[in-house]
Amino acid sequence: MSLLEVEGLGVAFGDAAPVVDGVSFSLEAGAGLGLLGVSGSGKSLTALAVLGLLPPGARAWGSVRFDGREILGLPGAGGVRGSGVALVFQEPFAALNPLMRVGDQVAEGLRLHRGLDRARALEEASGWLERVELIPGAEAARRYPHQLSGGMRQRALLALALAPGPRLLIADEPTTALDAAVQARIVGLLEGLRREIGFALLVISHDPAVVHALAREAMVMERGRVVERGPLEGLIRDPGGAAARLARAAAALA
Amino acid sequence: MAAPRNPYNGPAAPLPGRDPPGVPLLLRYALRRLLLAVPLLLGISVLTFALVHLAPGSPVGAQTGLSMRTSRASVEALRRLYGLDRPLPEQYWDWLGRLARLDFGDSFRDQRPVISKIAAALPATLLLNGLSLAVVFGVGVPFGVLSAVRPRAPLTRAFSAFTFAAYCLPVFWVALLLQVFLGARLGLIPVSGYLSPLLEDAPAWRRWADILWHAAGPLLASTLGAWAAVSRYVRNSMFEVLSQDYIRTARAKGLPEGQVLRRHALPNALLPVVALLGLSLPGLLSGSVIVETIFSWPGMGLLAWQAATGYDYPVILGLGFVAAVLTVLGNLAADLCSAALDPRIAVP
Ligand SMILES: Nc1ncnc2c1ncn2[C@@H]1O[C@H](COP(=O)(O)OP(=O)(O)O)[C@@H](O)[C@H]1O
Ligand SMILES: [Mg+2]
Repeated sequence: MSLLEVEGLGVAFGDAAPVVDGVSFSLEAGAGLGLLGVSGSGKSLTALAVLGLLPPGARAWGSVRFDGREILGLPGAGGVRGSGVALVFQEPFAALNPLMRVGDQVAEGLRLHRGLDRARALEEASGWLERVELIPGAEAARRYPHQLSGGMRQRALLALALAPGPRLLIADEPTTALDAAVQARIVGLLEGLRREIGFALLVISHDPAVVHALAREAMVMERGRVVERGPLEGLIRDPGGAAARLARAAAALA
Repeated sequence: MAAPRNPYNGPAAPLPGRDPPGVPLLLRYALRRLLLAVPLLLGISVLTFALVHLAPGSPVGAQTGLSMRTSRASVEALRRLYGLDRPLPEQYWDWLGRLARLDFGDSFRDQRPVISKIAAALPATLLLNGLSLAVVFGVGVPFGVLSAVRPRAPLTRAFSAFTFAAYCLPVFWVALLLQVFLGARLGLIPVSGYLSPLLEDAPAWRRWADILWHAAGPLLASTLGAWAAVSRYVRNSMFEVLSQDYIRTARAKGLPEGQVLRRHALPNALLPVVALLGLSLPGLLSGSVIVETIFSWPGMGLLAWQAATGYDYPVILGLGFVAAVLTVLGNLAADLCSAALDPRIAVP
């Protein structure tokens, strides 16, 4: 039984044509998978649909099974949010509550999923901030989001996502909003944590290089549909393929 | 971007923005804001001074309406009070000194010191406006949140329809309606006044109950129209916040929706509401004139009405100054509340 099995997933806004259509994939425990595609191809909506976090007005159909249990359409996506599947979004600047200390935002998940009391949770949150190289962690925990740079916030969001011990991390364009040097370091950090902890990873990007650093297998989406899948090395080698086009586009920008 | 084949995995840059030692940041901010209030108060003193001098003609001259109603003695009193025969800078310096001592001269009507008349009226006005704020925000905020979270619930719709109707009616008209129907016809609330004369020697709780009972009419009249405005404002603010990424982060964490709303959405949605609170103070004070006059509520508004219709110049100026100072202080308080809620204001 796979950790995550998605079958015939579709998303549409109102009566408009589906923006995600017939997407199927599965992910084994501890495995890595890349999701490639140009901007607007439906990658983020696919990720959001898995956890039932679609924006208002969107409806989803098909099947999403986590650990063999159907969760599509369940309220709170069947309780897998945070503890089973964690999400890191594209935009680190807006993804942290500006009024709450970073440590408290990390600790919140620990209290919720591990039943820790406030002091214990804060202590462990500091430890997690240290693990994502916000050092010293206790100092970082006291910071407000506006006091951190974009790269630091993305690290804090990684700590926030990983602290409760999810079995799958979905990283949606985890580095797109950051400049190149910071990108490389965040990707390196993610790779290191994954080797250490062994969570499964669905990494979403428009850039095959980012996916390549984190996953061997990948699929490519175009206009809401999966058009290619397989080992990324092989996909890139086919010059007429969608993945190769993305690689050329990314290289042209760099 | 180049393929990150050999990612550099060293430590991140050092953390910025350590808390500076010594005075807590919020206190620092409060002191800074307090200092900024000083030029504002000076500005108010200049304005009130100019009011005395820029009014058409002289305030005691023959061409103002004032002179027709005032006795020779009070003209003399005014002349002495403002030292109108001396050079302007000297007069202003004098005026500043008097403001600092809260000496606005004596009322033309009963020769009592203006400041003691204002001091007698201040508690009633503060009580009414404090209650108004509490009621407006106490009702407006929960309903604003409710109408953002459950826009289609019957209760939400009924409340919106009712408050919007109230919003469209002028305050004086609502006040008169309340007085005539709830007060005179149905006898549900007192028609006017502050404290029943019979209760002046009653125990404190009995007097307070009676005062609050008398406040019902003015309170309803001054707040009904504001409910719609505040709840709509809160609803829009809540809508805006609910579409933010950090709300998605909170949901993705697995927090129950109630906690997402309470801990993440509401505090953020209230930030502009606190700012609105500061901005609404001048309106509240000037609104008091209408409501207090209609219900004979013995506050600054009623005093202002009596002074204006009686050409009681010193009282009008004194009231203007006190109202301006109250507005400055209220804004200061609202700013401090904002800074306490939002670390982006006072924490660098
Ligand atoms: N809130 C929304 N309302 C209407 N259409 C949307 C909304 N969000 C996304 N879409 C549409 O869905 C498509 C897929 O979006 P998305 O999954 O965000 O793409 P990406 O692959 O860049 O992550 C886009 O073409 C976009 O126009
Ligand atoms: Mg996207």
